[in-house]
Amino acid sequence: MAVELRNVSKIYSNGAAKTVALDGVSLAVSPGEAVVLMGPSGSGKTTLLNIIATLDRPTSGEVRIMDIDVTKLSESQLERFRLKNIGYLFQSYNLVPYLTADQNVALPLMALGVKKELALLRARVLLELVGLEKAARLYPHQMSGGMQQRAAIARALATNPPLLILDEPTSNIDLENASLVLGLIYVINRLLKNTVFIATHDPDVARIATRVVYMRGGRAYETAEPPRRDFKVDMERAAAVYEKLKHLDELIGL
Amino acid sequence: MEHVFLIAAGDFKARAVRYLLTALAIGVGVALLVALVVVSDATREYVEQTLFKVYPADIMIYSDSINIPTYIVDVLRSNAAVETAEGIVITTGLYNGQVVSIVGIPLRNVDYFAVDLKEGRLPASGGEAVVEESLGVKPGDVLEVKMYSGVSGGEKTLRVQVVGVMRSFLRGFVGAFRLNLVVVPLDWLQENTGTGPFVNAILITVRDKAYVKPLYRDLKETYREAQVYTQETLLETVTQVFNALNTVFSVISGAALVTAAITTFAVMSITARERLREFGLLKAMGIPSRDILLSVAAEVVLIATVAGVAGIVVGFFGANAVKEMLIGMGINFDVPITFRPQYAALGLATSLLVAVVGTVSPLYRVARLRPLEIIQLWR
Repeated sequence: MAVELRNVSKIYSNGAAKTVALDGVSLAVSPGEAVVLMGPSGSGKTTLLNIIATLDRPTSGEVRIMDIDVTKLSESQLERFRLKNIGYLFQSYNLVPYLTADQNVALPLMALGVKKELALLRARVLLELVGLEKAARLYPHQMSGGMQQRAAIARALATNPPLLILDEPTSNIDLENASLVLGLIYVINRLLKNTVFIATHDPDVARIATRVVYMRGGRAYETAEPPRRDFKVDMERAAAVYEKLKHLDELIGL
Repeated sequence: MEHVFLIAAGDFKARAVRYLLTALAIGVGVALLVALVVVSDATREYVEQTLFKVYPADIMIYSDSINIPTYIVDVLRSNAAVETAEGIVITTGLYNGQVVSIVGIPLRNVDYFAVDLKEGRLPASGGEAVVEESLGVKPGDVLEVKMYSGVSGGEKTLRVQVVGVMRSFLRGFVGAFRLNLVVVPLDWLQENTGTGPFVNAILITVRDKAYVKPLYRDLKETYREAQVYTQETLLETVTQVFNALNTVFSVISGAALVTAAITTFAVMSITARERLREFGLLKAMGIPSRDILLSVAAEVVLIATVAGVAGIVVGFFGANAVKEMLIGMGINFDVPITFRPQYAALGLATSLLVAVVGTVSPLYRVARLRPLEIIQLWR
């Protein structure tokens, strides 16, 4: 299993008051699946996403990612685990403001020990994959919101993580760019076979999902029928870039 | 480690003006510290050198009253360890409202002052004097010096003919050390002050420096009422004075450095707040907290180095400039200012300490937060 949650609960305490954010959630996700978490605000989507991303710990239950029980890892072990295994995308502010797009993408790779030149080379191929080959030397403030989000997807893919987690990836960008970003996530999931988790309010996002999980009152409900994937993208172009990426990864050893 | 420097360099570039102003605040404190230490060292060295020149004896016996019989000098001369022993009188008087030091020395020793003779000649007979230039007199002038009643047994006026003027001891750069020397023949002084065959100081040189300590101990034991000094004990007194001065200097430069640390702390607290999202993002990516702290440390070292080097250069050349300015203003401050490696070490260490004190606390607090805490803070 790529992700396995067993009876996971999260309770926030504020003095005597207790808020149940997650209430016994169990979920098993195979590698390569694209899971979309939907539900109203406060339903527990982001809490669940943060726990899967190892940014938060459950109050009870077991969280296994890539067959590792992450609840037993120390903070420093979790940092290393995240670097290698998880690509995370926030709603906004996903790029370090004083680094160029390619430096932003190369940063996690360099932290993993890859030489700067090779890391930048892979960063540029990833930027090509997300259609930003001409924006490699731009700083975040020189890019539109949509471009920044695409660059952030490239950054999340930098270390070739098996798990990609996206929190409301289209909520802060216009419709045209939202469509571009969704197409990109779809392509990545199909080509790179990463397991993808997306929390969203946008029903349109379900078009790229292999599974849709509805959250309500901290509980997870799944539809019996799988969603219809009907996203149209230029797979041919993406596949050509992906080939480049594969050659490069062999060189880097990712 | 390349990513650590990428983060550090990127942030430094983005906030260059702010960090350079922070470095400036630290640099000013360091410059003040270095300048004060440089001046203090140069002054101490100058005073020490001059003291050895003024006080050529290995041991001096001194009494506040002129009550040491001159035969004691002969007794000391017969001591196997003693090379020379000379009895002199050192007393004080008043000339034109200034306190003067009257020194009576045997005529055969008067050429000791030849090195510092500026004009005229040395005294050759009773009533003649060589005086320090600080008194503002010239050869040919007649000085009337009023003696303190305690020394001469009543108010007495000494009339001396100035035959020579010598440069000021200690070059007169510190008013408190101005001696206003009036050097006259010993027997003439004894005769005119009615002290008879008594002196109040004996200057002793020894055959071997190894004799200084045992002889010093013996003399202290024998002449309990007199004060016995060696060059070392006199230097200890000088050192005590300089330690007191250094304390004052330290307080002044310390205040500047504390201000620099507070400024740095304020600037870095704002920076830490601004970098909150960035740290959260880096941590969420999986960049280890240790690497984030290292990048901060790299920036701190860079700020401290810039501040330290600038402070050392400005402090050292500033001290020289102040010296030249004082000389230009007619104040005699010709102290030997030389660069020493310990100034660089002091400047850099101080700069680093101030930067660390002011910087690490706010940034470390943020860097230690868990990513989710940061994410929740910025929401």
